[in-house]
Amino acid sequence: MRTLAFLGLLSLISFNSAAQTGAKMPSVMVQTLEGKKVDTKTLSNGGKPMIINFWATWCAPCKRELSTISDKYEAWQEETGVKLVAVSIDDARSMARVAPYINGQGWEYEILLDPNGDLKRALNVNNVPHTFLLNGAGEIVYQHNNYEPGDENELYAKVKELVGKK
Amino acid sequence: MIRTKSLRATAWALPVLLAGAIQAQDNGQLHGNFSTDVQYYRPDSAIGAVLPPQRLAANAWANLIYTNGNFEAGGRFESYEPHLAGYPAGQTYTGSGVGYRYIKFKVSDLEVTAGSFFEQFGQGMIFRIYEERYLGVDNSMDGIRLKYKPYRGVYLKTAIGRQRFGFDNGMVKGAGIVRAIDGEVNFSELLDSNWTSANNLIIGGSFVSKYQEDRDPLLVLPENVGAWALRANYTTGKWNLYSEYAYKINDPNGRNNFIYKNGQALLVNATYSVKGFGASVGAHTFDNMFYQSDRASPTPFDLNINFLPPLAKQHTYNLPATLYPYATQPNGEVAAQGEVFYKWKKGTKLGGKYGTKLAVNYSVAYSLDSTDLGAVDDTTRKLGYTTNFFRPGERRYFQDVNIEVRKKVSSTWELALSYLNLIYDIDIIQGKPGKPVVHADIFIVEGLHNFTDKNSLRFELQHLSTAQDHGNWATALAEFTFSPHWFLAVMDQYNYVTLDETFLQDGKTEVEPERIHYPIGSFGYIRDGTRFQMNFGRQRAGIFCVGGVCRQVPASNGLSLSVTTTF
Amino acid sequence: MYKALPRSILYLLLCSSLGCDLVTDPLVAPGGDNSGGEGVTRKVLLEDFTGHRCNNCPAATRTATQLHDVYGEDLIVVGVHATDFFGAPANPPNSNGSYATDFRTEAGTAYATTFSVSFLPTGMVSRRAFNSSLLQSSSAWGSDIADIIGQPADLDIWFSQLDYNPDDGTVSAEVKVAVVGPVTDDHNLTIYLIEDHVVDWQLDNEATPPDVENYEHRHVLRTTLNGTWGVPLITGAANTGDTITLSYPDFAVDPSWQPANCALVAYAYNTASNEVMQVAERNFQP
Repeated sequence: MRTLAFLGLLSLISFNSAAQTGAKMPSVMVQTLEGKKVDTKTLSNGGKPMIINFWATWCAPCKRELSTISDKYEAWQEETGVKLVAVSIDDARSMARVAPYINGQGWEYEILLDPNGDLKRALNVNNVPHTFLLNGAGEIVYQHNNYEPGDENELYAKVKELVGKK
Repeated sequence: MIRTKSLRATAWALPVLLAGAIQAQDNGQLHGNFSTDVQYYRPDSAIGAVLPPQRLAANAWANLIYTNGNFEAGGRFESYEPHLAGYPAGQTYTGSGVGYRYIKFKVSDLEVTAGSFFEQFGQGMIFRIYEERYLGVDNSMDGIRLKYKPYRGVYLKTAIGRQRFGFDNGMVKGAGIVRAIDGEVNFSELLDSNWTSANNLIIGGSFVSKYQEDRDPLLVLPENVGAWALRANYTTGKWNLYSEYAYKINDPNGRNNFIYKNGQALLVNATYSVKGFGASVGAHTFDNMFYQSDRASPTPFDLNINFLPPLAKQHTYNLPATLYPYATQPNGEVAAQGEVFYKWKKGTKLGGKYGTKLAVNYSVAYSLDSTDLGAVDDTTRKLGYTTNFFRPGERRYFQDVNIEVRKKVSSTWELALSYLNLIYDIDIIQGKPGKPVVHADIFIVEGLHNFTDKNSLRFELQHLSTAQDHGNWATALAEFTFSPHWFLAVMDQYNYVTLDETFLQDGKTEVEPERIHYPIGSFGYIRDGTRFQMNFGRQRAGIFCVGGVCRQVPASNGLSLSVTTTF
Repeated sequence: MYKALPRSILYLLLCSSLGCDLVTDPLVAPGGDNSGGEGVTRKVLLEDFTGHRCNNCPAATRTATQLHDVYGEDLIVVGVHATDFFGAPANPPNSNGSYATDFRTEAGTAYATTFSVSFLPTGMVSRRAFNSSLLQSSSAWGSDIADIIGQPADLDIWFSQLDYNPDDGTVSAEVKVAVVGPVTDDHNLTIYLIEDHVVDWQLDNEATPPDVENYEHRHVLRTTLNGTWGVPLITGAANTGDTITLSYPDFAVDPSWQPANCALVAYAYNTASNEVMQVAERNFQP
């Protein structure tokens, strides 16, 4: 009985597009590399698209994705003004490694740390890599789980759609 | 059985009510995710494959979160009919029901959570409540949590409740009550509300205590056991220095043989990073730091109040990660780690056309220098052992030296070469007494070739050579991807034993041990937030260790399907 | 430096308000009445799941022995060897013949499967669930036993007859169960044959070297006389004053077992909750 109610509700939700569009960033406290606390509800890119990407230093496809995008990031920013916020879910074991790692890679992203998975849970992320694309109004319009080489092209196509370019 | 009828009624009534609510409200949002792993087991005696009587096992989770302004409610429905073999790590999960539910609301600077919650103080050395769903770790607290920010830059948190212990058609709670409080001051925020510089000093302190009744006929056990910790973090643009000290009063428990010695932990870490270069060095000492809310917790995986991470690189390649992973020894260890990341820019001699990346890592862990007193009488039980707090003992538990070079060699080819040298005291780490220390050398070649914008091939060749344990291993992996939706992968692991392991059967016939292949194929389809993956083949047995006690994840053969979606 | 940290101040502030118990005398003062009250009291069955290749298990068995010293004949310990990982003989066989014996039993394997035993050592205290868990780590056995032992019992069990015949290697036994308090649920009676002081290999974390050739296995479960789950004893209700007699004549004892070390353990359990309500033990030779 319980099972049916829950599963019934799930199917109602998954197929009800009205529940999916227009989701905004939840209000969760994460931190910057300097330890400053940030409320994710305040994240914005001044009306331009924003990518929220969940990754970890122990996740090989995540690193591959961010590495591939970093080669194109400057061009992306110039063309669309998009900003990529990379949220690391590294916990106490590997959190210290995040700053040296990203600098060693030469990445230019804004980095946030979510060591206990609070933002990951609030956005219902199952596993990394997981990417969200937010439009200028801060609404989630696209999300993608997993990374295979070439996926960044689909992501960028959606970004361009948001700024009205082809 | 701790099960309340009212809880179950609320659990399924709530989402049904909310479903109706969201149609009427346009402020409210309902989102969630779903994840399931289903496995069908086939018999395979050559690898000692596990064969549960049900033959088909499935783990499933469905999370829902409803938010509306400052109000939030959520829950998780879980199902294990039965759970996958080797899962979870600790107390068994069985049946279906609600394993997690909460409501949360904010009133200006006060946030209140009632129900299940996760939380971490500092690095979690005395309080970390978290989940690793796919490993089967979930020590969620069920109770009340308050978060308050009395002034900018000052953060207070407090919590009280009991922890989750296994799952039996619903959440089951452990015996002990846990109380915790934490305060943190972020000086840059405190002193300057328009703070933008990278310089910052953060100071924090926490106190945690657990209560459990003493009904033991042989020992007078402390019913309230407290621990406190202090931490400090100083950052500038390039440097980040962190230090945390924790102290625990007498905590006789099943993991430390019921000694009354106190516990201490110290952790220090420093990182330096500028664009193109990053370095990190850290060290820690743990002395008698198992802290579980039930002193007789049946496994070292259940009811942990704290989290003591291993100071070793978490490897992503299959052989080092699943054969010889290091596990923290909370009862006593001294460890250190250093690593460097460097990028040669494109155009430089070593950088070549696209740049070259280097990562070097060294980590080592030793026993804690202590003299065991053998808990035999009143006095020695009180002391347990004597120790020099930060001095490493004689026994080296683990050492890992590894280096990785990654380079894009042409517009379509990328290569990564890695070398690891491991020294692994399998006796202590995996609980296999008498076995010699494993010395292993691992070479890995990884290549990625992009045929077109959408199609690519990634391959890995790994080789592990050792004269101990099971001997040499070789792994080959190939993954084809057809962006953005499809991928196909095949992997084989081969234990081509080169040890002198021929043995005499019945004292007469010489028999050579079988050299076993573990082939496995997988393919998957991904679309937006949904992912389907199927695996078919042999899964090698793996080891999952916590604090000197290891649980074997059994070998299996069969078909598995996993589905995850976020909505 | 860290010793100088003001622990005492923190204690005053926090410990006194939230509670910290610093214990000065760990051991319970000896003496005290560990025997039950008047009338028939409950004895406890401690099933210690163990395996000869389980290096942490001897420590748990030593705990059981310590508790037996405290409670005497009111605590009955049975060592159930189980699980493929820890209990099966070494495969491939070791050249020196170590760990070649198979101590597992049909009953023991059935219990391990039914009660989801996978992590050793573990145990069950009269098969009662404590904090929603039937399986109890050895650190909990003391407190768990203290909860049950000496409580008033509704059943009394004893062996009215137990004779071992050395000529044909059989044992004949007669078990009596007296109902001394109201019983309204179905109960079964199971009889174990256990052998104490069995000398064989055992892996022991606390021994050097850890492979112990002449380890003394205690209270090893060898077989059941009347099936893994026993036979029905009480169906529905039973009246106070009833006595039920069960006979087991001429049960063949494996010739490799030493009769001088053997004993029979009879226990009555509630078939709905699995809890062992009463247990009794009697050696072949007094």
